[in-house]
Parts: sequence; C-alpha cells; structure tokens
Amino acid sequence: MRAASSVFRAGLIVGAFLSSAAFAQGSAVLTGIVTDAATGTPVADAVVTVTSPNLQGEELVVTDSSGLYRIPQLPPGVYELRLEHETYKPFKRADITLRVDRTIRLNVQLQPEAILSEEIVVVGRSPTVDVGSTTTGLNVGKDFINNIPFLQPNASGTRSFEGLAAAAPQVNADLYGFGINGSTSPENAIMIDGISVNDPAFGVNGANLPVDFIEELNVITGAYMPEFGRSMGGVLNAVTKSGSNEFHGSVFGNFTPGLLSGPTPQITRAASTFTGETRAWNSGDFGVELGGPILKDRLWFYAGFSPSVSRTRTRRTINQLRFARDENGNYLQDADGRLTTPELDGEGNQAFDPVPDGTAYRFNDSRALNYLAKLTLQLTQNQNLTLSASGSPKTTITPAFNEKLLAGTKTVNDNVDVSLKYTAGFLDKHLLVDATAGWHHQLKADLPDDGSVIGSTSGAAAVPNVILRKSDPVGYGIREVETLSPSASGYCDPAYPELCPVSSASNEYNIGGAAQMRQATLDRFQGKLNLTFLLQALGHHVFKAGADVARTNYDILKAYGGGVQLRDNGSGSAFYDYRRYAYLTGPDQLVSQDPPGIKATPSATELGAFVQDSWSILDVFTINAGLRYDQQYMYAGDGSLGLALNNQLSPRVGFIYDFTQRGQSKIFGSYARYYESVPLDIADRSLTGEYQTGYYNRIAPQGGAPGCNPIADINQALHQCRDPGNRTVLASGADPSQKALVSSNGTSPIDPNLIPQNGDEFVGGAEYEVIQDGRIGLTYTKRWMNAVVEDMSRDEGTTYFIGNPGYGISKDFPRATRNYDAVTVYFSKSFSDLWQAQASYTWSSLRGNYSGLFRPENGQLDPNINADFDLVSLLANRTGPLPGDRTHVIKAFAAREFVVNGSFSLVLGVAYTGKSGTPINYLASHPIYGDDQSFVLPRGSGGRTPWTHSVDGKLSAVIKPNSANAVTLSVDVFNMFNFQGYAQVDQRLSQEDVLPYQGKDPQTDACLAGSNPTCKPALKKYALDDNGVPIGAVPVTAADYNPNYKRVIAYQPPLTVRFGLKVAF
Amino acid sequence: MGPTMTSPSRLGYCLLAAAAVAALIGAACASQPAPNCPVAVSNPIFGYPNFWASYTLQAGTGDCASLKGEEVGFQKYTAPGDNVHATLAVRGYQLGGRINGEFGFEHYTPRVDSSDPDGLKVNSLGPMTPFPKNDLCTLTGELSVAEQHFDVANYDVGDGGLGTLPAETISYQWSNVEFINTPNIPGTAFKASLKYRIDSCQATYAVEGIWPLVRCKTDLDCSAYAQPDAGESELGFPQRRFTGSGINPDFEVRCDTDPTVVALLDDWTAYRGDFTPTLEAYQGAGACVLTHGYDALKAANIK
Repeated sequence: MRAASSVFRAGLIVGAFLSSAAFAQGSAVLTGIVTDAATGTPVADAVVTVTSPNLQGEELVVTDSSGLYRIPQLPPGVYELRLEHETYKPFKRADITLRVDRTIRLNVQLQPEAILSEEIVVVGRSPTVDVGSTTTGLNVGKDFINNIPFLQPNASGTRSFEGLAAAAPQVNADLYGFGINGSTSPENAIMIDGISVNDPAFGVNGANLPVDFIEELNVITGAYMPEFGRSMGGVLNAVTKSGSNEFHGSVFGNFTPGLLSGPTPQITRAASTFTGETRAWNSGDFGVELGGPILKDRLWFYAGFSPSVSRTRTRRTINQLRFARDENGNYLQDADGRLTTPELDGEGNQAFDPVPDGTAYRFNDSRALNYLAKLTLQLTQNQNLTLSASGSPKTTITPAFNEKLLAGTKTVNDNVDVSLKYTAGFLDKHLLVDATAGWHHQLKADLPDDGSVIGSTSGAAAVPNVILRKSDPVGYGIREVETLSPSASGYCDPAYPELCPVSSASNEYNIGGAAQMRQATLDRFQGKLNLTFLLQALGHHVFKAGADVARTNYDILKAYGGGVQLRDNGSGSAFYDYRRYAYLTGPDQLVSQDPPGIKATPSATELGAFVQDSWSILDVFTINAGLRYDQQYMYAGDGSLGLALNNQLSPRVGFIYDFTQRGQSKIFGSYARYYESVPLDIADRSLTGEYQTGYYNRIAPQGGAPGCNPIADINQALHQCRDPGNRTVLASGADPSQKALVSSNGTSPIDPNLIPQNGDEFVGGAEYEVIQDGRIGLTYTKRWMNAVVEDMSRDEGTTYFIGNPGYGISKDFPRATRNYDAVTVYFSKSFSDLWQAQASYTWSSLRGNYSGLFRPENGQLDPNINADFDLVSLLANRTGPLPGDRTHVIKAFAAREFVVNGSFSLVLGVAYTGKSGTPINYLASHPIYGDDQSFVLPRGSGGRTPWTHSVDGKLSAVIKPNSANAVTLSVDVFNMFNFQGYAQVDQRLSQEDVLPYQGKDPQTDACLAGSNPTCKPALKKYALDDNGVPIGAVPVTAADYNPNYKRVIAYQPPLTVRFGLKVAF
Repeated sequence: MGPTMTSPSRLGYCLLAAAAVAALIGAACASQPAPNCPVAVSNPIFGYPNFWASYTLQAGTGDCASLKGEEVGFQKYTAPGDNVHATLAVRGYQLGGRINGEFGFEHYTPRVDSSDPDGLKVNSLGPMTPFPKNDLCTLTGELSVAEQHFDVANYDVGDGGLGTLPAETISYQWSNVEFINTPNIPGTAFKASLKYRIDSCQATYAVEGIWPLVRCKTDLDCSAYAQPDAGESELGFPQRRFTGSGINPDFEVRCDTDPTVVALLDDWTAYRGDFTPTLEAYQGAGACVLTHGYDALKAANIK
C-alpha cells in the first residue's frame, strides 16, 4: 500500500515528472545522531547516503566522533536515507520530506551485526518538525499547488508565486500583496533563486512568475535568523525548477470563463448618477516547459514560457435622481431654484431611474508573457553553478468612459531577473560556500492609452486633466460634460444639475487629458556571499557568516498632461493648478518644469553582513544567536548623498528544545530586531526634491482677462487659464508672492540623529508531530515598532522634513506605533497516505497610528513619506485598530486522492477561508490634502465590516498510462457557494473639509457609541471662501454627509470556475 | 527603544563596516547631508501666517518710530539643482498691507504707487547663503530698498461720504538679516536691522521674530504641544488646542500683550478672518514671542 501510493503520488503530482534534479543546490538540511541501539553510544564513521528524484546522483557524508551527520544544501524533495557501517546492519528509511530553508532531524539507532544480516527498512514515522530554527511560516510545494484550490490568477491572468503566501498563518492580503505579522506588503523581502525581486522604488513584489515554474516557495513569517535581512515583514523565498538527466516537460493551459462566474449584487452608490460594476470576462494562460541534459551528468537546462491574459468588463449606467414635484408636475424648489426634496425608495435612499440608452461597456485588458530559462553546471562533485533568467513583460489597458476624457490609461510593468549562483562544499562538507550575483530590472510606465507619451505634442499627454468636484451649491450636471442619447431628451434637465450631478460630496469627475504620467526604469545589482562552517565544541555548531551588497538605481520621468492638472475649488468660481511641477525664481515668478516634465535618477547602496551560530547541545537543545549589520545610503538625483542610514544592528536569538529528542517536537522562543530597507521613492520625491507651485485662476472673465473655463473647451486649460489676468490674490499683505502658491519646495532636511526604521519581535511556541507527517503547533507573536522614518511638516505642507515621529527634531509629533499580537494554532500534514491538510486559526490584534509603507485608507504608496504624519492638522484621531486588523482568521486546506485503478485516479481538494471584518473609519477631506485624509472620529470607531467566507473546491483527474507520461484534467471552483460578503465599505463620511472631532458632545458621543451610519454627529467643517481659503468653522449640514457612508462598495470575488489541462512527458 | 540608540557610537560601527567594504561604499560613515537654508513661509490656504517680528526702537522719533511689531514675510528662491545661488525676499506688513487694502483703519482701500503699479518694489530682494554656515543663514549682499509712494486715495466712510487718505512714501531698508538654521530650528527664528521711513520721518529698529505669528491671550495659547485637556481655546480656531501652535517646540515662548501690539494685531486680524471663527474672541489678543529673545536662543543652540 505504502509503496504503491508513493509511486502513484509521483504520477499524480504532474510537476514532479519534469522538475526533478537540482543538485546539491538547495537550502534544506538533514541532520541527526547515529547511535548504537544496544549501548546508546555514538557511532562514528557510519556512511550516510541520501538520494532523491530531485537530487542528481547521491549525497554522501560520514558521521563524526559524536555520531552526528549533517547533509546541507539539499534541494527540496522527498528523500531516502541509507546508513552503512561494517559492524552494524544496514539501515534504510524512505519518504523523508525536506523543504526549502528547513532543518529536519532524523536520529538513527543501528543494530549491531548479528544473526540477521538483512537491511533494516524503516517504514514508520519520519519526522517533519524543523528542529533547526525558530522560524514561523509555511513551505508551499507542488503538492499544495497542484492539489489545493487556492491560487487564483492575478490582474494579468498569471497564477504568480507570491499569491501562495496567503496560505500561511498570520498572512493577510493587502492592496499591494501580502502583509505579514501586521506589516504591509512592501516591507517583505521577496526572492527568486536567491536574489531580491522587490521593486527598488516602492518595495512591493517586482516579479511575475507562474507557479508552474517554481519548485517550492518558502513563506517565512517571523523569527528568522540574521542571514535574512532587509525585511520588516516576512521573507518569500522562491526556488525555481531545474533540469535533470532525463528530458521531461509539459504543456499546460488554464481558462476561467466569465460566463460561469457567479452573480454579484449590484453596488449602488446612494444618490449617484453613475452605477455599474466590473466583472471578470475571461482569463487564461497557456504554457510549455522542458528540462533535460545538455551534457549528461554535467550540464542541464530548464526552460518555460507561459503567456497569460485577463479581461474584465466594466458597465456604467447613467441615472437620474428622483426629486419630489408639486401637483402641477413642477419640482419643489427653494428661492434659488435648487431642488429641495429627494424622493426616497423603500429603503430610505434617494430613488433614481436609469437614463434611456445610458448604459455603456468597456473592456479592460491585461496580458503578461512569462518566461524562465535556467542552466545548471556541475563543476566538480562538490561545486555547482546555476544561471537563471526569468521575466515578464506586462501591459494593462483601461479605457475611459467619460466623454470629455481624451484617453484611458495604459500601465506597463516589465521585469527581468537574472541570477548566477555558486554552491560548494569543502572539508568533507564542513565548510560550505554559497555565492550569488543577481540583477533585477523593471521597466514601468503609467501613460494614456491613446499612444501618446511624455513629451508628445498631441494626444492626451499634451492636454491637462481637470478634476471636477464642485458640490456647492450644486454639482456639475451631466449635460455640461456629456452628450446623452436623443432618447434621453426628457432626462437630466440642464436647469437642474442636481438631477444628474457628476460631481458631488462623494464623487469627482475627470475630463481632459492625462493625469500624472510616469516612465521609469529600475535596477538592482546585488551580490551575496555566505560561508557555513560546522564544528564541534560543547555540542555541535553550525556557524554562518556572510555579506551582501546591493546597488539600486531609479530613473524616472514624471509629467502631467499639458503640464498641469487642474481642479475646481469646490464652489465653481476658480480652477486651480492642483498639480504643477514648477518653482519660483522670485516673487510670483513661476518657472514651469513641465513640459518636458521632471526627471530624476536617484540611487542607493546597501551593505549587510552577519554572523550567526546554531549551537546544538546534547541534540535536544539548540541555541541560535546572531547579529546582523546593515547600512544604506541613498543618493539624490545629482549623485550627492541624500540620506544615510547607518548602524543598523539586528540582534536575533532563539532556542529550540526537542523534548522527544527524536526530531518530533519543539518548544521554541525567539527575539529579533528587524530593520527596513528603504525603497527609492523617498530619494526621488524628498531627497532629489519635487517643486510644485501653482495659481488660482478665476472662471469668470474679469477686467479684460478671459476667464478659465476648461469645461466649455478643454483647450482653455492650456491657453485662457494661463492668462495672468485670471489669477486671484491668495496671500496676506506680508507674503512676498501674492498669487503663486508653493505647495512643495525642493529637498527635505533630515534629522541628523535619524534612527533607521526598525521594530522588534518576540515569538514563542510549540510544535509536536501527532501523526505521521502531521504536526500540531501553537505560536504567539508580538511585534512593535521602535522608530519609524516619515516626512513631516509644521507649516501645513509648505516645507517637509524627514525624521522619526516623536523623537529628535520631530519630538512634538506623536510617536509612530504599530503593535501586533497574534496567537495561532495549526495543524499541518504533508502529502502522504493519499491525503494532505493544512489548517490554522489565528487571533490577532493590530493597533497603532502607523500602517506601514503604504496607506490602506487611500492606497498611497510612498514608503517612508506617506501622509500619515505630514500635517499637524491631520494628526488627530489616528490611533486605533489599523486597517490590517482582522481579529479572527481561519484557513483550512485539504486534499484526498482516490485511486480508481493503476493508471487513473481522482484528487479532490477543498479550501476554506474565513476572516472577521476590518475596522471602519470616519474619513473626510482636508483643505490641502484632499479626500479621505482627515479622521473625523477616532480610528476604527465606525465599527467593523462583517465576516467573509469562501469555500473553494478542486477536482483533478489524472491519467497516467505509463511512468513517464501523465494527463491531468482539473476543475477549480472558487467561492463555490458564491458568498457575497463585504470586501469594502465606503468610509468617506463627507467630501467636505470636516474638522476632526475631539471635544465632548453628547450627540456625537452617542453616534460614536452606536456606530450608526445614519447618525449625523454635530461636527464642524472649514468654511472656504471663493479661493478655497478657510475662513472659519461652521456646522456640517445634512447635505454634507456622504449618503453612501458605510455602504458596501466592493463585494468579495464571486464564484469562478477554472478549467485546466496539463500533459506531462 | 528610545532615540538614544543611534547617536554616540555611530562612527565606531561605521568604521568597522567601512573597513570591510570600503571600496563599495563611497560614503561610508557619512552623516546626513547638510540641509539647505530653509526659510519658514506662510501657508495662505491653511492656517499659517508669516513671522511675527518684534521691533525695538534704536533711534528716531515720530510716527515712524512707533512700531512695536508686525507680520513680516520671507521667501527664499533657488532653482532646482542650483547649490550656489539663493535669493531672499522680505516683505513688511506696513507696505504689503496697504497695497492689499488690509488695514481696517484705512477702510480696506488698496493703495497704489502709480510709478510701480504692479508693486514690484514692495519686496526687498537680495542674495543669501544657499547652505548654512556655522548654523546660520545670512545675506551675502545687500537687500534692495522696498519703497512705495502712495498717491492720494479716497475711501468710503460708510454713510455715502468719502474720506481721503493722504499721499505718503513708506520705505523699508533691511540689513544684517540672519536666520538660525539647525536641524531643530529650520529657519524659524531671525533677527535683522531695519531703517524704516514714512516720508521724512526715519527710525532705526532692531528686529527679531519667530514663525509663525500666533495670537494669544495666555502663554498656553503659544504652546507647541497639543493641550486637549485644557479645553477649547477662547481664541476659537479649534484646531490649535489639539495640534499645538505650530511654533517650534524648542522655543521657550510667552504671550506678548503689549497694548500697542494688541491694537495693531486687532486690525490685522480684522482682515485675516481666515484664522478667526469669531473675531470678537481675538479682540485684545497679543502675539507669541521668544521669552528670552533671539540672542539667548542663538547662544543656547549654536556653539
């Protein structure tokens, strides 16, 4: 039974056919003590041999005088261990599963040679507990990828490796990837074949690589040793497939038809002119891969190519809002002609009717061309060299709906990753050398989809984008910006813009050309050398030392369509230069830098070094201790030093106690300090310096000046709006510049005692192997921030400085806090005996005023220069449950194989994910920073979104006519019950500039206590004059509240069905 | 961990690392780059006026010798990437306020110099150091004289009749302008000498100021730190109590309620309604100033 199952498993896991064979090139370790079964004394000079389909040839070591053997640098896979010694019976054990970065202990007792001389074959328990480290996380291998319905295609239709991270406990998806242990996704270190593939400017994952090309992903969530640096989150370590001595390959394809997607409830924004949704239309991928020898036993190759596409369809329907009429059919209106009485539907919302022929559709298209090529060379028995190159050109096109918007958007994000790795073992594998050199390259662009680029003299790139946001006294009506079908003649009467407003307290509307455009290339050149030395001194030591260096370069060109983005001032009297790259050379003497736009070429150098020792005493107690040193220098666009992050010392210590003494248990604890690797965005925006300066331009003609009305004719944005006669005086008498308003002014000074961003972690836990290949565990994790690097301003955004909030020159700012506590219980069983399972429950708490390297509230991704601490007027009400706070998370995955006959079997996989909701905030606009920047009430006081659940299933049929070939047909059904939980609710209480509430008021306090969306607390907002200048505080009126507040704006993804076919040979 | 963990032994670690990879890291052991000379400016859209400058008469008598203080605005101009040239502009409220018609007692009548209709000579302009030297940012040449000759102007006295504002010439001649520029005082305190003229009346002042102009009735109103438990300030603008005054937290400040200062500021506030939800609340309020003056601040922060 057992033999049959393991043979069949090889057939079932289709990938295993072709991948096999990386040489001694991995990071898994098998270790143990060999003793005499009769006397218990150590057996020296026993010959230990391991073999595996994933290992070319065999690895062979000899036990030392203490009976210890240790076989390092093994690729992940299923192994067989043999032991031979002249005075003992031979010993053999199979089915030992090794994973990336894990140490498995297998102690063996040898029987003295006696009457029976046959080999002892152990079929019993083979341990799976990683007794070498305190690291928490999950190894995701091919079993999981193939059997479990888990990984859905990303936006470009690729099932990319990083998505597997979400299977691990204490990992939650966020806007840009996967946040680990309360951190945000850009804080993770992400590696493919040992080189960093993080986006050098923003820290997010910069590589797209289909899981079909990877052997295994190690998701390290915490308690890791100094050899892993430059991460304040976790580490994602992907190992790609390699070729072997036999030719193997596969052809595969997957298709997700939109037609089979489940229905989604319509998202209605209350009182909204536009309704609609975006639905998956179809997505799919196709791929081929092949691996084999070029020179047998010497040189091997692996190559894969897999294009993917994804298409979604967006609907937009134009509606007319209903207002009450009198008996003559005339609208009820006030003295100013404004409609006064909305007509409500049964649920108390304003009713609306679709406008005839008012529905339109657009397709959004993404594509990626993924590839991987790899060469492996065995230099000598103990030395290997691997060269791999992977990449993925990606493009996404999102067309525009708005009639006066000249173009949609085109996003390009190409990546190339090249890695050269040298691995060697010397001194009978007591000295190991791992050296890696790598290059990560990205090409990124955000451009209009009409083909124009920065510098074009025609097309959307040459025309300013204009934001309409007027709501006072009434928004812009749709007939001012769009032409409706003749059949809609009775709708959207232009005399009453409130019937079909395109701008309102909760909605903006864009017209004109391109908003911000960016074209960038990013590079990281990196080198890493690690030495491992094994020695014996009061126990066994694995001593490691290493150094690494990286140079990152960022070349970015930024511009706005027509050199400026305009925005109305809310009351319809002026359009102002909302975004304009320009500086002053004297009072009111503005010099525009755009066109041609601003170019910057910042760079950074990072250096790290570490030493660590893993000291195993009596084989039951292991102490890990180490120290890591990092420094990072960032250089401004002109090459001058911009930011020095010195002396990042990260001590990390841990212990592991194996109370079974057989590698089947551990009790462990760990303390670690982690430092952030600061992405280059700060070197571009703050160290090189962005200048933004603009004017307020009157709409109405006055005194010979033509006025500025880009709605009437978008070309006015380039001509009439630039007329000096339109400019209004903004300043007081003492301001040297009376009309030009500087909103960003060059480089930011830096606190000379700046502390590099760092935080601490404590992890404790226990793990025990309860059944064969299955273990249960319990962990507690605590993380907190020591210092955060952010930019701040004391003068409301005119000048910024960089410091540590709460320290040094920023001591009057509140300290940045992010406290994470989590308890996880889990069960994990790797695939054996025809089944596998992985289940975890996590309770966690994430509190503070700092989310991390991006702002989940509005998606701002400006690592270390986000708006969290920017303005003194924004600091109120910031502390509370952070957006990543999910109290309860359950993740459960299982698969079972059903053998029908020798050449046919079925595999059923199921997955369940349940998550409690996230905190809801009361957000409003800020006079300078705009929408959703101001916390009106304390963070999280709006309650929480409800739980979401998803049950996924997968059925695979595997036909395996012979040992070399297999055909797999599979169907994945994601969210099979089509649960429609709230993925997101509208947290915008108002688009007005509402003041943060901090006082005491019974009505407001009652609203707070009740978390009632219809409750209208007694708040105040800034009253603005015609120039948008605050002239005092006035009570918020009912009309200022966003009627959509706390309503769902996104449901969880609906049911989707994915079909797959794979032919392996 | 507190802020002490970085500072003292920084060089030690750094040298260690530098020895290992000196060739790779050109700037090993470097400290943060020197900031350029920032000069605190107003933010007319949101909340912050310019400097409040206190005037101490050195010589002179008459109308021109009665100034106790005023709002003074600065701007510094450098082109991106230019590390050599910087220009400073200075603008006093006695001129700028008249140009904009901001003085209540002049009934909001903008004054005009017919020989300079665009008001180009309202600002004083001159070269300054782009980077601080000995923690000070100073002029490297002369500031131009700001001068306006205002023509006679009529104003509406309120009952249909007209009043007359006489012709007058006002000039500012600034010199010895100096800003403290350390990381914790980034151009938020200055001192200068001023020759001020109204027609033939000439006075010399010693001027010093801090940014921003904060009106106050008590010293608490000047606090850089939020005082949420102190209740809403009677000065209105409800934010301040919850965010602090915006004055540099390293400044020891007090509320100057000199009647001359109060009278001048009441006029100023009458126009600058953007900072005053209730004008009445500000009646009688003074301005925050350094408790021990600029020279003491300089001595304490610059070796």
